Amino acid sequence: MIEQLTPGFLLSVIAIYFITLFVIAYLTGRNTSNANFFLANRNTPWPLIAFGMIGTSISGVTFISIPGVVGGDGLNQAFSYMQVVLGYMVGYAVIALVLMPIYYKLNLTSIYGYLEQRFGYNSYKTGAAYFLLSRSVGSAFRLYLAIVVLQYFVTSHFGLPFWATALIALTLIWLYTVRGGYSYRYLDGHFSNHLFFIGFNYYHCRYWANAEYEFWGADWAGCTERIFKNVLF
Amino acid sequence: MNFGELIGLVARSEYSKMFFFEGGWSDPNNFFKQFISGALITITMTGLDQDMMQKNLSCRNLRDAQKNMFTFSITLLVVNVLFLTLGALLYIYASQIGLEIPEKTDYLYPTIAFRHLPPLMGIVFILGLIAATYASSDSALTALTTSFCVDFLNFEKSPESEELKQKKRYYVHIGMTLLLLVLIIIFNIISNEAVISQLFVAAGYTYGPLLGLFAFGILTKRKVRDQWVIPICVASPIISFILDRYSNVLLGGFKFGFLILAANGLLTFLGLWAISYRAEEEKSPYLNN
Repeated sequence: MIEQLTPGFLLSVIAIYFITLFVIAYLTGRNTSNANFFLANRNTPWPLIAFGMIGTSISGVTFISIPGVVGGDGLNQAFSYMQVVLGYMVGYAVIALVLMPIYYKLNLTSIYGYLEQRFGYNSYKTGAAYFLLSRSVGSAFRLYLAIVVLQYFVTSHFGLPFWATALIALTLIWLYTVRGGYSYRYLDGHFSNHLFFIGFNYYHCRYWANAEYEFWGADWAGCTERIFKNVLF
Repeated sequence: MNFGELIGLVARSEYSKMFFFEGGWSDPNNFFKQFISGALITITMTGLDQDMMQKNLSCRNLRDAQKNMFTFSITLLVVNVLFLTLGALLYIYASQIGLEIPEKTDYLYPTIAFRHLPPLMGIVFILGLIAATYASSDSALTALTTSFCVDFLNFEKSPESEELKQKKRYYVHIGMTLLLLVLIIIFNIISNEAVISQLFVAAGYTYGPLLGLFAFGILTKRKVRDQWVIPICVASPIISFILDRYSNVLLGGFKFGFLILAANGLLTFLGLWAISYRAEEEKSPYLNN
């Protein structure tokens, strides 16, 4: 289906998308203090956050894999996936009733601050270091897969090497977050993203963009394989 | 067919079976196995993850954050029911039109959807890819920057001026962006699916110690000798990795699946217990504050 669209056309579409995004950002943006960058001054209306979190959690797996497993005869056959979802509910209840009161009571910006107050310096640094490690590898991996697709369908046709595509992609993300951190993303960028692409197609694509942590965590290798096969068609 | 009939169709089909108890512990769909995995996945990968929790911490107060969490989880529940129903309908549809089910069932929905969609799909594909990637990458970048500034540069305790900190945050932000860039370029140089996915799996093992640390902190009142925490948190993912890898030999064919996370957390918990002492011994000479 993509062959029918020229790389030049796709590039213009992408350019228009980013221009729109940055115009919205410019019109609604503001300079931010550290507190604002980190936690949006703690004043984001909660429905907006719920909206963002749903967007993050309903990913390609929900749209592709979940309907797919219903008729299979292996893991998660029929509606058995609901058993996991019920487990999720318990997990969310634990977060809301046990973890979040601690985070709020200690007035934490970084949740690993808890470990320092409870155990000490080394525990705290270990927790934070592990987060930095797993998040940077995980995020780089997701981005890598998306950039491979962009490179394959669009930028390679203009003679751009891979590193240049990666550099452009990251510069855009950097620009997008540099001013606002959390507040800005929720109020504008994130929100508009969801409005633009809410609908099946968006989620089809999340499938390729996301290596799933949530449920398929145990099957990362399988997931990578699926993504690679899809990326390279 | 109206909505009620649709629901009836799915409910009567073989696909709507939800609970699996009879297969016992070796059945991958066993209720307890699935249920416990679901809870653990959520607690660690959402509750102990700065990226996911930072969103919640930006609520006005605890009550709002809890409301957010409950709304979010109920919505998620409904959404999942809808998608399973969609799945059942897709299979019923496929059998009606005689469509062969793809070997990888993941492809069923795209196969049906793509066939009826015009080339516009290509545009939406690329834009959707960018939007989806950006939504998760910008949040990760913000969380990484926050964690580094607060956890390693001690932003909240240091007496430095707000101006200087903003400048530092700016550089950390650039640094994190560069870190991601370097990692991406390394992935591209490796270009080996198996190696990259192993790296990714290894990164996932870091959730075990976090689970152990938080569980020990919340469930017990004991204190730990802090200087021993690092070796324990390094050892338990490594031991878990070996356990999982060689569970065939070591544990007579038992497959951990997702429960390796629980094992990993438990190892950390036991390790912490070994280096712990009762809170009253606060003046112990071994105490390292």
